[in-house]
Order: sequence, then structure tokens, then C-alpha cells
Amino acid sequence: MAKKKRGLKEEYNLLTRDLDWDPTFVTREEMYPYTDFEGIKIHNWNNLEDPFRVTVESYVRIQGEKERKFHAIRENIDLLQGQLDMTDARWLEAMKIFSSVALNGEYNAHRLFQFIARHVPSPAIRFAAITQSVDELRHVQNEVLLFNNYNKYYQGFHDWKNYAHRHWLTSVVKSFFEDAQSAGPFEALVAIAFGFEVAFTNLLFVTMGATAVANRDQSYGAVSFTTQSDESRHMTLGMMALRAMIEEDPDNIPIVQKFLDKWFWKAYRAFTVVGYILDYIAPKKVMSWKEAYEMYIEDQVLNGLFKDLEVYGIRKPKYWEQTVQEKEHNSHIAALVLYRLPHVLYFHPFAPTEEDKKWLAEKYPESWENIWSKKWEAFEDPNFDRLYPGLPMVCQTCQYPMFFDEPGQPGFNTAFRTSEHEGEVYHFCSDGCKDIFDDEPDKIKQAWLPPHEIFKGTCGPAEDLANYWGMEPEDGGDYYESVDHQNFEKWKKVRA
Amino acid sequence: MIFLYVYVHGNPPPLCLPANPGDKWADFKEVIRNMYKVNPDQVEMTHFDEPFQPQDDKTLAELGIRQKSLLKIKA
Repeated sequence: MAKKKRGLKEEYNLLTRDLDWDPTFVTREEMYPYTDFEGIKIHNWNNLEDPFRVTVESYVRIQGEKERKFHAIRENIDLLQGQLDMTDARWLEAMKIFSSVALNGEYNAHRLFQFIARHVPSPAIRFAAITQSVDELRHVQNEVLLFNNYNKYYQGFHDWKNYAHRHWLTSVVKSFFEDAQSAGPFEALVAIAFGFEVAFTNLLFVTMGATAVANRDQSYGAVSFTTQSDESRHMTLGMMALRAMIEEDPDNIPIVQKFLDKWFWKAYRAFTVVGYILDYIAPKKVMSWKEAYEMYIEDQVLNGLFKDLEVYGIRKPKYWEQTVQEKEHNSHIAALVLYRLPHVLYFHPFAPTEEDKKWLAEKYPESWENIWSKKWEAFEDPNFDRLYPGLPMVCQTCQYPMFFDEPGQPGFNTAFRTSEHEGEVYHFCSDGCKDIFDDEPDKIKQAWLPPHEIFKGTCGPAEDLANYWGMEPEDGGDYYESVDHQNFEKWKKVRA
Repeated sequence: MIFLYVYVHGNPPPLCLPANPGDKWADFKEVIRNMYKVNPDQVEMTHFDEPFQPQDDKTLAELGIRQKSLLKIKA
């Protein structure tokens, strides 16, 4: 008699939650030492479900198909030799930032999901976290291959590992993930599944992916779409875990609210550089940071997701009003400050062209003419000393240089906040970053701040700093004076 | 060695500068002059948010400057 085929639910139970066991050599508390660390109360661990019911068999089959498709596209793109159909090689400045920032993030997300898989005592979450960890490694590998392709023709793609681990700018995203990795398992889950994936990841893989395609860069388009297909699974699990925590016990609500406040703010700050990419770097622009923020964060997260959570007593994350106000300004501040740092960046910053300025004026009617176009005018004056003269002061929490404005006072009116702890003063760019420190000063005081470490000599001799960061002399400097720009123009002419 | 932060209004981000608490203000102000192209004798200054009127012959420590002090300058 033919064997009866098992149903999906039975298969899922057998291969995931039925593999769970009660320990006999050690106590359950010894096996899961961090379960009570954050005060989250879960009464029935089986209430935490993986909505996708992923099993090893289905996971391997689906991911295998995605990989085959992705690599077929990637190998074809390799044959395009430098992608001369791109609108301009300037687009690749975005990819250089992405190379260092996202790779760092994805690799650390893989470690973070391993931590969650080990320490959350729910078989469904543990299994889903293992598959998510493998997803993150897949993303890292695909992104390394992407840079391998660009690296054959363009500068600044040869040392993503050192940029990701050592460069002062990537310290922003490194500190984000290291904070999450060294939190308890529930906070770690909220940090990555909510802060990064539910709230902000659309901006990275949907908006930026669409922008890559509009600029005829097929490589990143392919990477972002295959990555985003995993992210949507992660988002669903993240939402399930969030709801389960909220529904399991009313005592969890203030704890979860604190996690949401912290990680919304941290992810928001970390994503500042995406605004710079959308508004400034992309030669052909699809959507401004302001428009993307309105669509993905205001409509979907603040007025969508948080509306649904209101019934549980969860409110919108602290300082959300400030984020909405800043959507007019922060991409301009970041672009202006980075413009002054071409000597210490592994990508090429530049001033917007006349065409870029026209677009910016149209997209930012309230702030461009009155504030930011005037700042660019001053910065482009031949008498202006473009190069920033030293190392910047950075925020203790988000680690961005201190360039964010006082709320409601845009136009280089830098905000300063301080806290005293054990007789030492700590500086912050905002109330959001200060609150995070004040809640856990003994943790955040340990932050590895690049300017301090450079002066202390941790990064080697000052004259050899570029080498420490993995930079070659051609990697920095203005885009319009770069080898990349010259080559792209030359190769296009040869091909024509 | 201590770290000092110097912000000239309207010029973000502030600079992070290493300094010796025993350095005289007369020497340290030359660093500010070189970095920001401002005349440190003709500006309005605050140490954090307190008014700051340093004398050239005093050391940074004598002026109350400590680890991670923030000087704000209105040029």
C-alpha cells in the first residue's frame, strides 16, 4: 500500500516543534539562561508560531530556486562589462556605501539570529530564526559577488571587509548591531525584526532597488529583489513575535514599548545615509527621501502598524514627530557634511549638478530655496575651504558626526545633549540618543568611537589611516575628478 | 591627554581635538585659529552653555576644561 503523504501542518510539526525536548540533565532555566533577563513573561511558548511554517525541505527547495535564478542573472550581468548602459557611474557611489554598510549589517544580523535561535525557548521561533540566519549569510554572499563584479571596472570596491569593520562611517551600523547582539533575546528580536525589517528595510531594498533599476544597474536590482523576498518572511515573523509578546501578559507592554522607542529611533538615525543616496547620489531619481518616508514610514508604520497596536496600549515611538519634521532636512545636512570629507571616504562625494538642484527644489519646496540651496552656494564658492580640517565629534549612541539640527531650527543649528555618568560627560545628537544612553549608561559608555580611538593610536599611525581603512588613493576625492568618472565617459565613447 | 570638542556656530560637525590639560590657553587658541580661520580673541565663547572668557596664561585645567569639554564659538 502506498504511504499516505503527510499534510503541511503535520510535516511542519514533526520537523520543527516536535524536535523540541525537555532537558533532564540540566534545568530549563540553565538551558535558557536569558529568558527572564528582560522581564518579558511568556506563559505558553507554543503560542509563538511561525506563520510560514517553514521546514528544512521547503526552505532548501525555495531558496535553491531563488539562488539559481539570481546567479543566472548575475552571470549574464558579468558579461555586460562595466554596465555601460547605466545612467552614470555616479550611481555606483551608492553601491560603495551599500557595500560597506549593508554587508556589515547582514553579517551581524546572521549572528544575531543565531543568538535568538539559541536563547528564545520557543521551538517555532528558534527554527524560524535559524532559517533567517542562513538567509542573512546568503545576502552577504550575494552582495560580495555583486561587488566582485563592480570591482573589475570601478574603484572603491576592493576592500569591503576593511571598510565594513574599520572605517569611521560604518561604525554607525556596526554599533547598531553590536548593541542589539549584546541585548537580551527579546530586545534583539525587536531590534532586528521590528526596527530594521518591519519598519525600515523597504527603504533599502524596495526604494533603492527601484532606483538601481531606473539607473539601469541590473546588479543591485537583482540583489535587492532576491533579498527582499526573504525580508518579507522576516517581517511577518517579526510582527507575530511582537504581537505574541504584547498579548501574553500586560506586564510586557511597557517593556515592549521601551524596545520600540529605542529601536525605531536607532534604525531611523542609521538610515540617514539612505536619504543621501536617494536625493543626491542617484543620477536618475525615483523618489525623494521625503516621499519614501511618507509612504513607508508615516503611512505604513506610524499610521498603519502603530494604529493596529493602539488597542493593546502601545503608542507611537517617542520622537516620531521629530522624524517627520526632519524628512525635509536630514538628507541635505548629510550631503553637505560628506561633501567636505572626500579625503577620508572610500566613495566620491560631490556637489549636486544643475539638474539635481532643479529636482531638489521641486521635491523640497519648503526647505530647498530658503535653507539648503544657500548652503550649497556657500560651499561651492571657490574661496570656501572645502576639506574638513580634522576629525569630527560623534554622538555616543548613534555614532554619526554631530551634525543633526536642533528640532524645529533647521539650517546648521547643531543640537547638543549631554549626560553625566560616574563623573564623566557624554554627548548626544538628540533626545532620542540621550534617552537610550540614560536607560543603559554602563552599556553605551563602552562605545568604540572612531575619532577617540584614532587619536589614542588604536588604528595605527595617523599617516597610515587610509591603509588601515582599506583605501587606495583613487578611492576618495570628488566624483567629477575621479578615475571612475573619466573611465565611464571614455568607455562609453569607445563603445558608441 | 584629553579630548576637547570645538564647535563654531553654523559649522557642523564640531571638531574633536586632543589636548593636554597643562597646555596654556595661548597655545590652544592657535589650534582654533588654524582650524577654523577665526580670531579666538574676538569671538563669543561658551564652555558647554556657560559664558567662557579664558586668559592666555591659564592652563586648560585651570580654566575648568576637562575630558570631553565642549567649547562653542560664535564668530
